[in-house]
Amino acid sequence: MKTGKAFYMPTLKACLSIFRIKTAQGLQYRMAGLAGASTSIFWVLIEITVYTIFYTYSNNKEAGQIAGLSLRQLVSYAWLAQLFFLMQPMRIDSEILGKITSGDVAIEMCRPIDLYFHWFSKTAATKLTPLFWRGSITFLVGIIMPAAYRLSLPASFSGFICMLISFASAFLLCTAFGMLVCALRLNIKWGDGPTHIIMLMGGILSGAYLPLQLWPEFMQSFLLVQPFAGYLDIPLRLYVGTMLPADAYWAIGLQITWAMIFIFTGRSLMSVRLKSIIVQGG
Amino acid sequence: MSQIELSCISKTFKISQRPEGKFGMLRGAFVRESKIIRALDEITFEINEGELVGYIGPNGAGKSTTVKIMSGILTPDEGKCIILNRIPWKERVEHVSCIGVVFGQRSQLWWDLPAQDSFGLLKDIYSIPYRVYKKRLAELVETLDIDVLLKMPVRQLSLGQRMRCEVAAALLHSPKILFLDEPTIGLDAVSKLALREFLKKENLKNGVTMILTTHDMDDIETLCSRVMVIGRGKLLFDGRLDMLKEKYSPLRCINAVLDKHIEIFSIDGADSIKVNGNVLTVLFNPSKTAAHTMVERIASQFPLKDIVIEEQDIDEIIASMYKEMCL
Amino acid sequence: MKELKLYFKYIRMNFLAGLQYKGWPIMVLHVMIVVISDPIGLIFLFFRFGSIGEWSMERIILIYAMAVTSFGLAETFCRGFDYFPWRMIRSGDFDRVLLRPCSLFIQIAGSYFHIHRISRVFGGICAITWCLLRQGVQPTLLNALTLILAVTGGYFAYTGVFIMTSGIAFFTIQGLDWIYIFTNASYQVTRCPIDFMPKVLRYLFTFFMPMLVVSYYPASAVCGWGESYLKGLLAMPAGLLFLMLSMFIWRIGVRHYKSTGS
Repeated sequence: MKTGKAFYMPTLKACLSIFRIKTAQGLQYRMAGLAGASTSIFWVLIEITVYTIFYTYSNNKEAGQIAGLSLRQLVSYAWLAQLFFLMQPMRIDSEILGKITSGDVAIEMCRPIDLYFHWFSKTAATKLTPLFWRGSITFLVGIIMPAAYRLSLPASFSGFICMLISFASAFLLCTAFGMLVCALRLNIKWGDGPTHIIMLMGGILSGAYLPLQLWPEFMQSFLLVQPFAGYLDIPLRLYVGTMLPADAYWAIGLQITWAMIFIFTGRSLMSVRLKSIIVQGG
Repeated sequence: MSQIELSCISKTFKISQRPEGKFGMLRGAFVRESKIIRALDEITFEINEGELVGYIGPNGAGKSTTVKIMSGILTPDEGKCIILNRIPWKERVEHVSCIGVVFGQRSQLWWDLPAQDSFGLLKDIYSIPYRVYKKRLAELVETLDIDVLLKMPVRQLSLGQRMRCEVAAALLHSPKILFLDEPTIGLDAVSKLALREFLKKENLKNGVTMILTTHDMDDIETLCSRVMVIGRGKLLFDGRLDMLKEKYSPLRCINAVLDKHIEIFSIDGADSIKVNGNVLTVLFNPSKTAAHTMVERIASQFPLKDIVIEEQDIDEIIASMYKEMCL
Repeated sequence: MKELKLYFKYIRMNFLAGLQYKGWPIMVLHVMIVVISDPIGLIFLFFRFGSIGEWSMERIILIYAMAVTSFGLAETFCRGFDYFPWRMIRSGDFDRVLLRPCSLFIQIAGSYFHIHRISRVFGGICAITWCLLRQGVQPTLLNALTLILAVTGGYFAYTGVFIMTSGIAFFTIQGLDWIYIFTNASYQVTRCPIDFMPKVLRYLFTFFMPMLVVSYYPASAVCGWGESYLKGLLAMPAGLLFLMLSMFIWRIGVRHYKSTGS
């Protein structure tokens, strides 16, 4: 594989334009965005209802407070989790998967740009579309809800800023993991099962099912350092204030470290496979 | 009484399109423009039993819309269509059990399974009695020469092999009418010839009416006695192929090989003359000047090594015809 | 009768084609993990907060599992309808379906079948059995009948949702995601104890899409939480009624398709 500036500049440019085209394409799907938002909102409302019931009528109603998460914080968490959830890699981009399964990867390699970053920008762009429509509608509905269901303001201004930075790192992390799975898919012969399972595990451990703070005590320290906390739990803790902005340094650092690890492994895995494709001729 | 009868069939579609201009893509996210197009405009024709009809026209002219209406998938806006004494879209089940459809670009066989499994399913779908099925299958297997292919998963077949199985699948229930939508698309020369040969035989032997849409003029030339041309939703021509040629390409072409290089000169009755080394190409109109006169006139001036009289290439005729009609 | 035979022939072909694909055992495992992980949040909540009055974890999981099992059955045996909007209309394969002289329902219902989908049914039945045992329910004939009819009714109801989705898909494919409210999101509603459930949800899933009729009422009747067997046995007719409504919408859709062609 060629390296050096002469190679990376066109790659960067090409990736940016792929990203732009894909995003513009996605913007047309406003109806899908609206329909998707209705599902998200429905989902959040059920979650909030369930949480409220547990916080007010259960036999240990104090348990939530003891875990350090008030109902108000939990409600905001639930709303934002829907938004962040949209970035998670749920499946390999259908176009890319089609190329992998049909063996057209060899054709893709004829393009004079780095395949990993080409697919990276494609994957990133497809994730942005739902965020733009579905995410923004869900967000708006969240802030105009009646008090008991409302997405509240962030705990502090600095917390909010940290959340934004952490959000960007989460986006990077999600895409990087999606690409790692994609590279894995290139290397395995027995279909989509394994990659689905890996992505599912990521989704579960991200806190989208239940904020990680409410998971059993003995798992807490593990839950915080595992890579998938960076998907949404870390930025949301910063937003609702269960993590102080002072701790943001290492938390965001953790996100970025994991993202780098994923990018590195993904890219090497992919080039190993691509080399063997070149040698064997497909 | 004809088997297929269409009168004054019209169909309009509404299509939405992205706004044009600089920010078309972005504006497309918020506004849509829609346009009404007239896909078919008072199409009228009749087809008798056992006819082999070529149905041609440029892309988007309304070919597949007509086929869809005739096969009962689409309801027209106005007009009457009676096929085998039935209205296709009103009595779907009865109608479709008497017709067969082959799409050149879409398969009805199960990709991962051998073709014989698909045939077995079709037998049940069309409720073909076991004995009839066996006999018919044996017949098709023999004429299409697909015996070995039946046991292989369809995904392993070549396009030509697959198309033969595809045709067998469409004819399994012995339909009275067969619609073929670009059946030879993408096939190699040998497969094309074999397929045409088969269709011709099937038409002669079982009297199956066939309607063929295609872009390959050789299909039309070898198979169809009758051609219909559609453009912009209107039926522009309906008649024998030689009539079409006469109308749009009255000229004949003489290719003569001479024994020496010559300079350009003039011949009475020639519409155009081209000289390339020792090859002379002359276009003329046989209804004005008879062919033998032209040959004599050329032969009287030069000793001829070889001479061939041809019709103009059919692809060229169609292209010039589409152009003439501003399609 | 012929139709039923044809349906099973379709399923058989799909099954055979599926076995050609070597990764299927892993797909079974995948769906198994989906089924187990789906209520994990709920289980953790119960661990931390304890029961909600008389609403113990077993109760909630039982109702939840009833709905999931019904959904799984519909997903297994009418997968074709679930896929229809995205696969068949777009690719134009529906034209082919229209060209064949037999019921559209059979052809579409049988057009996809994935063996791994049955994991959801399997998981659901295991959960139901566990909850029933924990609650000490008597294995009487009436109880068994109520439960079987409930799941059958639920199967009809969810099949109805798929058919309705397909019917609507003839008009628009783009804005169809909201239908998740009635499929994968619908059984999440059962996580709320019925006494605390907002009225809107309770009515929506009782009188429109009868998800609660096929899950909560039969479960309540069988376990003796206060609902009568009569209400519990309503599951089957309610499911059928919803299925008929969906078929009506489907028919309108097909008519629309035939007049506009995709």
